[in-house]
Amino acid sequence: MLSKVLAGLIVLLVGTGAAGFAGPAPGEGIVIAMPADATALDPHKTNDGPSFLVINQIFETLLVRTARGLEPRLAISWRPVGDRTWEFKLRRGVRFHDGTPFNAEAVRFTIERFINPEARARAYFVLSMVEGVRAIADDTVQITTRYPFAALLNHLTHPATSIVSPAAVARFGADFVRNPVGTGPFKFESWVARDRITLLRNDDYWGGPPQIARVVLRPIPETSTQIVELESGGVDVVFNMPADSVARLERNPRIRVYKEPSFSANYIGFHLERPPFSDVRVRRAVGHAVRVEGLITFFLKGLAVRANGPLSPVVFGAHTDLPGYEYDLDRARALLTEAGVRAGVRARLVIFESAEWRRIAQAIQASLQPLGFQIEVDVVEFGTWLSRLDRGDFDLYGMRWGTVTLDADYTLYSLFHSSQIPNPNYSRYRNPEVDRLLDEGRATADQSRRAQIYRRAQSLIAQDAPMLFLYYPLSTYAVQSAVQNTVAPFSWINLDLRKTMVRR
Amino acid sequence: MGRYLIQRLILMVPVLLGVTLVSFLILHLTPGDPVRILLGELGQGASQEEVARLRRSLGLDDPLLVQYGRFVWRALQGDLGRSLRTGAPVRDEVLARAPFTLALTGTSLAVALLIGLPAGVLSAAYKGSAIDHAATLLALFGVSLPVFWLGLLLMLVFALALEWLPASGFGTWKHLVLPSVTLGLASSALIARMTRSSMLEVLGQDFVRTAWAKGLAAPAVLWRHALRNALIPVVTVVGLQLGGLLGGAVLTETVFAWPGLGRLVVGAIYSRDFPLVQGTVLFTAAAFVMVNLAVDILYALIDPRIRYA
Repeated sequence: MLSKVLAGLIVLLVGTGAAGFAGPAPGEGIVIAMPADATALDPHKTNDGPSFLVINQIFETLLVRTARGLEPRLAISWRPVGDRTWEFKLRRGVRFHDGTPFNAEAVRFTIERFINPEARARAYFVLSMVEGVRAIADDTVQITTRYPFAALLNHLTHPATSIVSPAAVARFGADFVRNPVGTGPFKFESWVARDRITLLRNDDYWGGPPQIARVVLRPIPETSTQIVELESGGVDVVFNMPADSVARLERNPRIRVYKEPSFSANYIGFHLERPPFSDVRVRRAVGHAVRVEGLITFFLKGLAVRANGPLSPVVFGAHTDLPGYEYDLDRARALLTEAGVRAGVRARLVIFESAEWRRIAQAIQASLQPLGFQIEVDVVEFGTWLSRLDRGDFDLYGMRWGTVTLDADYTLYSLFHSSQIPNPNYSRYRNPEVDRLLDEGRATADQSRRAQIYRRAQSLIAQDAPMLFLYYPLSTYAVQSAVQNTVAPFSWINLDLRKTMVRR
Repeated sequence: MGRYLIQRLILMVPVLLGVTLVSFLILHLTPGDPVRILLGELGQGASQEEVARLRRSLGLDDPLLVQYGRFVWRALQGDLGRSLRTGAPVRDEVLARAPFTLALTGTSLAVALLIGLPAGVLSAAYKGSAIDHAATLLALFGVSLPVFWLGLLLMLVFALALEWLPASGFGTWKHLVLPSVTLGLASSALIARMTRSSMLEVLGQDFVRTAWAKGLAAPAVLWRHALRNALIPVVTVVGLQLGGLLGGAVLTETVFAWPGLGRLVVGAIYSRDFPLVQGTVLFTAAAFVMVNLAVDILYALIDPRIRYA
C-alpha cells in the first residue's frame, strides 16, 4: 500500500512532464472546464450534470429534442402501434467505438439493462413506465409501456437512456463506468480522477468525423479559477459563470459569451398545509408584493427571463402567455385583509447554499416586509435542503427545477400531481382537475391535443398559485473566440461539438 | 525504544476505532439522505418508491449498528467498501488521491519551514528591531489572510497577469508552486511565531551565555546551539501543522483544482458518500497518528535527554 503511494508520488513529481499533460497544440483540440468531476461514464450509473456532459459526447440517444421539436438521432422514424407501444426504425450502418454494430438488439439490451432492478440505474425513473422491448427486425424495435405514456418519446432524449455497446458491457462488466463505449462523435481515451477526462475524435462517426481531434474535460470546482483559466487561455469553454463575471468576459475580445434559454425554472414554493399560506389569497398577495423584474435586472444582471408559470418556454407544452402578477402593494394588502391576515406573520424560507439563492432570498425578505411579514431565511447545504423539503420542514422554499426531457409531463406531474406528495410535490398541492388533466396528458398520443391539456393544467395551477414562479434562468457559457460552432441547446450538459472548429 | 514503538502502534487501534465511530455517527446524524443527493438536481423527478428501491439496493436501510459493524469488519480485511456515488472501491480512490495530497503537503511544509524558521530565529535574535517588527507583521498577515483569497490573488498575478505559472491543475513542478506557497504561508507564520518565542526563552539560558563567552560567532550560537534547543516546541507545532495540512488543504485544493484528499472528502461529505468519507477519515487519521509518533521520535533525536522506555 505504502509502496503504491510512493510510486504514485514519484510518478507525479517526476514523470509527468510534457508527454500526457501538456494542453493540446493549436487547432488540435479543446479544453472544457466542468464544475465537478463526472461520477460515472456509464449512462445507467449516474444522474448528474458533469457526467452527462461527457456521456453526451461518447453516447447517443434514440431521439433528440431541438428548438424545432423531436428529431432523429439513432432512431430515424417512429410511430405508435396501439396505445401503449411505439415502434422505432433505427439508423443503419452505425457502429459502436469497439467496432460492433448498432442494431435493434443493442437497443433492447440497453433498455432492459436500464430498467433491470439489479442495475440500480440512477435515473431509473426516466423509463420506469417501460414494460418491455422487442427487437422486431435488425433495424426495428418496439417499446411497450405499462400504461399509455405519451411523453415516452421525450424521455428517450434523456442522456441516461443513451445506447450502450452490449459487447463492451459484457467485456468490462462493472468497469464499464470507466470504459464507456457508445456510438457518439468522440471516443473515450482516459480518465484521471478529479483532474481530466480525455476524448478522441471518432473517425468512423456516422454523421462524419468531427473537426477537432481531442476534447479534454477538466473539473475545476471554483468558478473564479475557471474564469482565470479561460482568460489566460488554459481552457476554451466555461459554463454558468456568475452574473458579475459575464459583463467582464463580454468586454474581452478573445472570448465570446453565449446566453441561451434553458430548460430550468426557479420558484418560491409555499407549504400549502400551513397557514397563512394555505389561503390562496395570501399566496396571491405575495405574488403582488415581489418585483421580479427588478430582481432579474439588479441581482441576476438580466441573465433570466420573468416566469409566470412552471415551465420554461422551450419545454413542449409550456403555456407561454399566462397572466403574471403586477407589482401592486395596495392590491396585496387588500388581499391580506380579505384573508383576515394581520401584520406580524413569521415564516421560514429554506434555500440551499448558493450566491444566487442568497440574493433572491434577501430580495423576497425585503419585498414581504411592507406586508408585515417577517421572513427568516435558512441557508442550508444541498443535502440538508432536500431532507428539509422531504420532511415538510418549511413555510416557503426556494427551488430550481430542470425539465430535462423538455416535455411538460416531466415537471407538471412531479410537482403538481397529488400522487407525488410529499415529494417531489413538496408544496402538497392537490387539485383533482389538475390530476385528471395530467393523467390524460400521459395517455394521449396526439401531441397538439397534449399541448392543449397542459395549457389548461398550467392555467389552473397558476390560479391556485402553489408557488411564486420567479424566472427562467438563461444558460450561459463562454468560449475562446478561436473555437467556433459550439452549440449547447437548453443546457450546458447538451454541449454539441460535432461541428466545432478551432482557428487559432 | 522498540517496545515503546510497539506499544504506540497497538494504541493506534482504539484511537482509529474511536475516530471512525465518531465520524460515522456524526455523518449519519447529519440531515440529508445520500440517495436523494445521489439523484441530484437532475433526479428530482424520482418518486418515493424509486428512491426507496435505490436505498435498499445500497444497503442504507439497515440499522446503524449493522452498517457500522459491516464497515469495521470489512476494514479489518482491508476492504473499505465502494463509493456510493461512483461505485469505485474506496481504497483505490483514497490511494489515488494520497500522492497529490502528500506532494502538496510536503512542498507546503518546505515553504513553511524555509520562511518560518529563519524569520523566527532572526526576529528573536534582533528582538524589538525593524526585522522583528517586519517578521511579526508578516506572520500576522500570514495567519489572517484567508487561503481562498490569497490563492486567487496569487493566481491573478502569476497566472493571468504575468503568465509565469499555470492557474490550476497538476502535471509539472510549476503547477505545485502556487498552491504550496498559498498553503505554506499560513503555516510559516505560526512556525515563525513559535520559533521566536522558543528562541527567546533559550537565548536567556546559561549555555547560550557560555557560548557567547567563549567567543563563538553569532551564526554558530544562534543556529547551532540555540535553535537546536529551541526546536522541541517548534517540532510539535510542525507536527500539528503537518496533520492539519494533510486534512485541511481543502480550500487550497478547491481553488487550484488540485485532485487531493481534501477535495475528495469534502465532495464525499456533500454527497453523503458514507463509505468514501469513512475511508478518507480513516486514512487521514492513520497518517495523523503516524506523524505524531514521528514527532515523538524526533524529540529523542533532537534532545538526548528525552528517552523512551
